[in-house]
Amino acid sequence: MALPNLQLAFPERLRRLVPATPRALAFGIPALDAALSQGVPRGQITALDAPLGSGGTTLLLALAEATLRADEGVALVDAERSLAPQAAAHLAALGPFWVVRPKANENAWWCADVLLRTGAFGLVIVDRVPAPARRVAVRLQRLAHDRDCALIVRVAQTARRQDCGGYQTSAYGAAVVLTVEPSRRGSGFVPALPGWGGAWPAARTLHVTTLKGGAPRAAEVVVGVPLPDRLRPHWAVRDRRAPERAGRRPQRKSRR
Amino acid sequence: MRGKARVAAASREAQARGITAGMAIAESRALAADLALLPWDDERVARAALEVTTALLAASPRVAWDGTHGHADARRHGEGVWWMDAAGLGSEVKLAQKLVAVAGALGFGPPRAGIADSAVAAYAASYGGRTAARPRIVPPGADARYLAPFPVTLLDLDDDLAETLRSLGLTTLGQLAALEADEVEARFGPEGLAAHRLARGLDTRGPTTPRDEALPVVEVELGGPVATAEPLLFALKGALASLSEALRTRGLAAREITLSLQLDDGTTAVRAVRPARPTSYSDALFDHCRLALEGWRLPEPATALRLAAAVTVPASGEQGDLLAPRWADPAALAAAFDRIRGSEGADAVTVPEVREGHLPEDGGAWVADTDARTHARADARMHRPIESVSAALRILSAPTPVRVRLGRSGLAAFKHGDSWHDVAEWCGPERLVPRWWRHDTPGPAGEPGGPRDYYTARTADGTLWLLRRDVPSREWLVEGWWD
Repeated sequence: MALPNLQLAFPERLRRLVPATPRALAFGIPALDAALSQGVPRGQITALDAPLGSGGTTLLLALAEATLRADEGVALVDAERSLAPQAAAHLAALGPFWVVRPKANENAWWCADVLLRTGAFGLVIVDRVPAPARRVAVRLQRLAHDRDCALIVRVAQTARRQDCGGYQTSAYGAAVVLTVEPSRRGSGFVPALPGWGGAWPAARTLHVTTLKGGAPRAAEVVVGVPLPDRLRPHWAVRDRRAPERAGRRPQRKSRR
Repeated sequence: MRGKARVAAASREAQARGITAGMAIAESRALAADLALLPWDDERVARAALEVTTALLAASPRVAWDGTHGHADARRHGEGVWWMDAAGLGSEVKLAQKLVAVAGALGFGPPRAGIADSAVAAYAASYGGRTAARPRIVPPGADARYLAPFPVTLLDLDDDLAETLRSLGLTTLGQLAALEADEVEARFGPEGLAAHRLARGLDTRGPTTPRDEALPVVEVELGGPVATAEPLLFALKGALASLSEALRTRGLAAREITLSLQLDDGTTAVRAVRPARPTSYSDALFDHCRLALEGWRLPEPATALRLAAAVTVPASGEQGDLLAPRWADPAALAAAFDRIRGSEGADAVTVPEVREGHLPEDGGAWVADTDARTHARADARMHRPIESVSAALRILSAPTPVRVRLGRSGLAAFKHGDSWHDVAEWCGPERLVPRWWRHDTPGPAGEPGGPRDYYTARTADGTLWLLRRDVPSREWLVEGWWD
């Protein structure tokens, strides 16, 4: 078969086999992907600097979802063993996705090492883990490079920064640093359902700053809090809560 | 005919005229003047037995012939007996029918089949089938009950013991089995005890596991007595690399490895190591062997190490996809997961699932996953932007009690860990009752389950917390946070 015919027969698969540009990973969030011009690089460590409750896990799961939709395997090492399964359950249906929950959070690095060596994953996430020793970081970076895998790391403590060649990078040699801070301005609570007085947290805004060798770039990501199934109406079940709680508003308290 | 002019086996026609094995030639001639006598030919019998065994191997991988001297009852009827392993071969009825069909096709007379836990009960069951096509299958654990009505002559007893039992009125296996074992041994000796065990369905006979002499074995001399783990692990790593290489060369994966240590006092300590799934990857095997060594208290220092692949299976193979963007060997992935499970626990590699449950902690579950798939479960989705980003909930495996400061307008602050968190805004309560349909379900602290008031609180740093107040105990707890 002549090459033009072959390209006609398998254009999509040939495009995947010989990519025109280096394949980086995207979050699937337009504002954030625009700030990360080349995406999350493969073969490198990307640091996510997000304190507890700031929305770091949300961004990691969004990156995992976009990677799975691109037909790549994803492994997530949940070092603190606190991720709620319902938060990540939708990912298991998209492709090869596993969550590794080590006994102790310091074992997460060893788990990441084993996972990287398989070469089966396009993305390995290590979430809420103690900062790695320098030699561990170097070994993992080499493994990620050899296996063409993106390794994204979120340490439990805020990463120490050091000035390196005119731009800031984390102490463990990450090529890209994402800093996440939630909006401190109260976004309030809204009625969970129209006509029902029960309140639920409103969507909040995350401020994400990307450091990738140049000037920091900022992006804002709006994150909603999913309504649990117990609060959703069902067509076959009459919602008897509305008359009881109608008119109630969330109680607020200003900062002391 | 065998030896000194006695009948060794008789055809069915001869049996119909009263001739049985062990009968004197003159006596048998008296019963049938036209009796045709043939000299006993061990070689011919062995050839015929080999033919039957070969045919039966098509139905079961473990087949054993009972030998030329065989079972006394079968010998009396001029029959041969083959023991076969029926475990793990699917439907026992179909297996028995297949055995009967295979043996019947050879033309050695109508075969019988029976299936039971023990060989003696299986032999008895071969008499119990309604037809050759409907063989008798003794239910698991019911061998002794099934054997009870059979006569003691079913057993291979010597004449003296058989006569003694008969004179005592012990005619059935059930009567023999009802006696106390120590009394039987005291009165009838080891032979009587063996018969008593058989009457209770305790039989050690049967097909033996075929030994594969070709399975790889690696032996390492440690160069002197070794009492610490480090040199042992060093030698183990090298030995496992050799063993893995040998396994891969033969296209095998180890289901079980025998780890033997030659001790300084000349004894051998042996331990079996079984990975969660068959593998030939030395790293995965090393982790399992290391764990086995860690919990092993040796009475003497070790002087030599021996590794043998005890049970192997053909290594699974999958054709790689050249055009796939990322293809990985499923066996390598499975071995990696196996290493993690070996070190971090069986539930370390998981897949999340949504569950029905009205409590926050009941909304999902981590399911231990053993399927090392490298493909998407569903169709690969097209790359597209995510419409809405949802905050991820983190839930503590054990809710942490917290101190709460209440102000005029309700929740003011709570202390989690070592620091106080000022509450900027909050909503609640949402009252939920865990398992309200059961009044006896205990709460998390062993107390009776009662209603819980759930609160959502946003602290000054922007974190959204999920708090809970147990109504019966009035205790406040942190359930988790959105991250």
